[in-house]
Amino acid sequence: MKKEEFLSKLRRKLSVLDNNEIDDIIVEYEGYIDEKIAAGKTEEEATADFGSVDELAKELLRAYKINVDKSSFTEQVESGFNEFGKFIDKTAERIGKGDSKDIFTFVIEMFILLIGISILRIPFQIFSSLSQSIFFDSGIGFPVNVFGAILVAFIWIIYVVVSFYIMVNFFKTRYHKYFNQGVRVEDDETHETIMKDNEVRKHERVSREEIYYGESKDSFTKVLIFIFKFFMVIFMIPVFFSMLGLGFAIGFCIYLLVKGITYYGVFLILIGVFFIASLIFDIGCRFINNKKSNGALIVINIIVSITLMVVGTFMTIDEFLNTKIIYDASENTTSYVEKYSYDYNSNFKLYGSISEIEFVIDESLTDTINVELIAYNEYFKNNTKLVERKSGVYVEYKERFSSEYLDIIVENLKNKEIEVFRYVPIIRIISSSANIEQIRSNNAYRYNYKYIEYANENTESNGNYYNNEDYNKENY
Amino acid sequence: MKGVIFINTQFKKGVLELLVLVMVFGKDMYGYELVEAVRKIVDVNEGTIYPLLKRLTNDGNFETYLEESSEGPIRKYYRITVLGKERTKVLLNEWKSFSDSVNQFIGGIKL
Repeated sequence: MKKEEFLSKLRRKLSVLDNNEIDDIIVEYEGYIDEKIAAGKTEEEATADFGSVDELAKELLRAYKINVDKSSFTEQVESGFNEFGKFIDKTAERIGKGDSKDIFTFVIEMFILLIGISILRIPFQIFSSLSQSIFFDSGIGFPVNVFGAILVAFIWIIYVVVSFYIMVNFFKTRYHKYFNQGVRVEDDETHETIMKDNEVRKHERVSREEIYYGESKDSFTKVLIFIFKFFMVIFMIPVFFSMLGLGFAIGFCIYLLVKGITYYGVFLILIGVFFIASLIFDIGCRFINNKKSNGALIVINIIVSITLMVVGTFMTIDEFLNTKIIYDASENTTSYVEKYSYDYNSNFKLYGSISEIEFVIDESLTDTINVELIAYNEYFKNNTKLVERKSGVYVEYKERFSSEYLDIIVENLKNKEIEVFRYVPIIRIISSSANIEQIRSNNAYRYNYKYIEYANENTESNGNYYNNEDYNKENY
Repeated sequence: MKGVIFINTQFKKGVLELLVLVMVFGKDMYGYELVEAVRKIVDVNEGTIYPLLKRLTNDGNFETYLEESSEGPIRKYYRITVLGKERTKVLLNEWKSFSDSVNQFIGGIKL
């Protein structure tokens, strides 16, 4: 291996360290190689003397107390379980020694702690319900309810963090109080040597703690870190899928932007949220793998994301204030009508997705029932089917994502409009008045129907009708 | 290599630490010099000594300074600290009592 190749390889393997540290090491090794070349070796010989770069890097990282061997996740889990086992053993041993007074107080303290934590829940519960009722159930809709949901989640996250912190502190102090003392007092001979050793080690410790990262001391902290990591892994799963979803959403946004829609705010917000999610994911993964995070990068990421989200929010507010929402779109657009004809049957009923039924009286139709399906655009018509059943008709409505629907939305958004469609088609029934009376009573149990009865004799084209509200009320 | 001791790797690592400490205790040395000196006594890969130096430095046993050499490259010299001296003494005592008891035992065996 050439010198440059060797050094760049080594640099890559040491990437978890600080840049300053890496530079320091690289310069040093460059010096060694130069020294050997000066002594008459070739570059290849000089680098070969170091052995494999992997091993060398591993040894160097070990000098920083970074355990490379246990970086694989399964091994970490294994060691976590081992530590947990040791912890249990120690506890059992402690109980076995029969310091029952200690254990008794511990249990009592534990009980009080749990009660304390459950009492702590009350104010959080109040805040949560309050924000729920203000933002969520108020019925204002889109931006407000999202904010409410975030607030509620945030309140509970704070509660979990606070209780976790209290628990950790409680266990930590108790652990040191009961375990460490107990072990030391037990044998006086080793006690002295431990003390002597500690004198020397104390100095080392202080400097070590400042320099090293991720050094775990006793099995208690190890167990704690393991538990924390376990939750981290569980937490990472939804984060990962949100990232995936956000990725799709951003892709869709890019598609819409390419199509010529000028809503940039949502796009910016999505990118901002994506950055935050990826940051959380990155930190989580690094934590699980015992790797150092780059502080400057995190700060930059947060600043960029927040800027994007704030700018995006204001842009979105502006863009949506400039958007016209058309509620009666369905009445202005062309109707698509599909006609079906059935023989009269005294049990005739309607099932399925129906929001409205219109009855039109045509006295000439004594033996047949004409059913019309009215949809306000082709998309809804294509998604609806009338299926004949033994005693009536089943209206089958399947919402499918089709390019037609997307085209309608894109076209509307280009004009800065949002059309609100009546998305379940209207069924119009044409038959003689006696038949209609029968059909109506057959369907009486479906109280959520809206009946519009045409009073004319012939066709639906004459708009002279009355709303049969009294009839509806009877059925409520 | 004549007179060089070949020993088990784990064991070697422990001894190596002692050797390096003792050498730097004697006088300030730079990396390459140290490697050559150690290799006269124990057959060892350079790859094991440099990380050891790094670790001992990180643990506060050594401090380093740079000095330009007459031959060219800038050399990083290792100097022992108070903590390092302390550690050397501890290790040396451990080694002495360890080798004494081993020797005593071995000396009693007649083959």
